[in-house]
Amino acid sequence: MSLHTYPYDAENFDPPALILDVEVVHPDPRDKRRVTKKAKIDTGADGSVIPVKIRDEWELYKTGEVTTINFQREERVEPTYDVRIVINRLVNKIVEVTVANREDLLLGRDILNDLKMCANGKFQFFALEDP
Amino acid sequence: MSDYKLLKPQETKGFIEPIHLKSLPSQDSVYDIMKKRLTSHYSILSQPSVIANSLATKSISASEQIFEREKNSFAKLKETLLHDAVYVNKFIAIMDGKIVDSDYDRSALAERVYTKHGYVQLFIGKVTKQKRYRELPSPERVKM
Repeated sequence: MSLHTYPYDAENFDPPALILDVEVVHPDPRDKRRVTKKAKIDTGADGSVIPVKIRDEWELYKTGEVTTINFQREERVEPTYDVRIVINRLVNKIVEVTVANREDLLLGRDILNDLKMCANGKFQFFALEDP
Repeated sequence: MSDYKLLKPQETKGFIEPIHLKSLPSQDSVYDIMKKRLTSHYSILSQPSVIANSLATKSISASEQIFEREKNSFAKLKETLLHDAVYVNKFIAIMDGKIVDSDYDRSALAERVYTKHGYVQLFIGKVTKQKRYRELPSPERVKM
């Protein structure tokens, strides 16, 4: 069992947000490319999103398609890509992601549902645990 | 796209024409003639961005074609597999138009395929009648 606690990020987000560092790793087992990025916990998102820059730099292949729905209920068919997501000793798996023009990641329920999470907004920290 | 054309062999055909000389030139003058003829050609080819863009365009379109091919293979197979108890509600990985593996867990499937075949281009789709939706509804306020 592994438990990790993280502070809320009140410096870059108003209201403060649940942010942590995650490692994005190239899906090829023989490829050593990896990058550490800030990720925002997003329990409202079905799936996770990575910066488009990673896809372009690593020349990731499209591996599927999904219809995404944004907050204005607009639908769009978008390609999906595979990357390995590593979060401390809590998560280490290949995840199907979409890309967006942003610097950080969105961690959706496709990853969060593997974990037990406790968000203490009052005291501005949250804990992730592999139950 | 005109830059791309310059890199194709058929487009460069005739660019470097044979030199017909009335008298035997010195080594230096042959060099000067050749240099003059090749200058414009090299000035384009020596720009790394031109070469990189051309190669990238070519590689992206090839990758797109493979993706579309595998996606179409999946769409065709899916109609049959929807009636097959072995595959229904599973994710299947399509490579070269064939099923290479399947699993209810997409992550486990991708893990196995990449370990076995390396990072190859494929299509992973779910054998289900339902359209795959992904809600990304969180509006964000940019902190100025």
